[in-house]
Amino acid sequence: MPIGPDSFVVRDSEPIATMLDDQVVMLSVRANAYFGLNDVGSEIWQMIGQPRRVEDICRMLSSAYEGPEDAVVRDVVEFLEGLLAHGLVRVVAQQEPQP
Amino acid sequence: MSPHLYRVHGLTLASDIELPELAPQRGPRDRPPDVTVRRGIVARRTDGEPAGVAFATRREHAVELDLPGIGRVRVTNGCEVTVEAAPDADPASLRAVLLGSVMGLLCHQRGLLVLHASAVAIAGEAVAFAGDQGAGKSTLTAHCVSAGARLVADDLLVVSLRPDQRPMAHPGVPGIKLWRDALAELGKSTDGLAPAWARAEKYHVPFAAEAVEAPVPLARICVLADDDAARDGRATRLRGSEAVSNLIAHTYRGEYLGVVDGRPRHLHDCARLAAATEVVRFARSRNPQRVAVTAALIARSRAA
Repeated sequence: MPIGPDSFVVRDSEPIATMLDDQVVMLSVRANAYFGLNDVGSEIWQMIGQPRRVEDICRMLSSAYEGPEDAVVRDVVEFLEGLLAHGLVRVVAQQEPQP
Repeated sequence: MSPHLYRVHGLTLASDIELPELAPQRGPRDRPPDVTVRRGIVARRTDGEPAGVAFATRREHAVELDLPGIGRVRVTNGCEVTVEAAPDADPASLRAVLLGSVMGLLCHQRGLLVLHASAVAIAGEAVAFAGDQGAGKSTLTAHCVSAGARLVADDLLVVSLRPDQRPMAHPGVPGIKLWRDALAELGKSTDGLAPAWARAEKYHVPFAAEAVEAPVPLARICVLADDDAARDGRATRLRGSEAVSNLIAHTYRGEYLGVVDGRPRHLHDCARLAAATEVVRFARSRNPQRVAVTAALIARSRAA
């Protein structure tokens, strides 16, 4: 399922994450890989502990970073699709209750 | 046969196989050793995989390594090493594997943080040099020792993390493995030195007199990079995910972590270590003349 501004995304529960200097490093045993996130990526990761609409993530980021809104949407969608491809996030229908 | 007693990486070790590279265990021998090394029978692998690479198979708390030309080794619970040497195994090669891959696996079983790094002590603090095979860790370390630093460890560095103290670098094997040309640069000859393994142009150079005997607080980890323009060495601080990722990447035999289910703990330990020390990228020239100058500056706490 492609990610768009109306999608809800949430962290998958499988990866194990640690933090240093507000940046996230993750181990996914399932993907057999480590992932290091930069400042913005780490901030997004912190936001999606609960399902969150992509549009809302972008709005929170663009107010903090003062970037043009369409560029922020494009970057955030690309970032989240990368996480999705590695099984690190899930796209959910709505604010579904956590199992 | 009464075993040989040694001390390495903060562990006491009783071995049926003589390991002259190690420091003898001194003082009272009333406590049982942390690790025993014995000759014995190790089951042949049965998975049909081709020989030619070191391979670990797990049975409960034991991991077996199949090492072509060396033999088979079983490591159990981080405290028992059983060695079935191949009939034609070269003794120096066998010892190199026991003190290298096997020790790395054993440390991972014990949950110790073990870096692919060499380290020296300067004014009571340790500086580690991390890098891949061939990055120049041992050569730079030997030059630092020549310039007055003490040796902490070569190639395999155990770091302990306790909540109430600084990370501590533990004394490793009190010697450095050096290529023939690196020895020549240090003004040492190969006379009286044993090849580090069979037919190797790399030699085990004892540095027992220059080695520390107790753990040293670890102040800095230098990830080595080549840069001929950085004449006397240039350190750039690494932070956040980059610092943690570099410690993960420069873990000794990190591929064994998955075998012992150690990766989650190791991830958190790397973050704790990166928070408690400086992790830097240390760019310097590999030019032999520059290495000695860079090492002299490090030994005077001026570069790395």
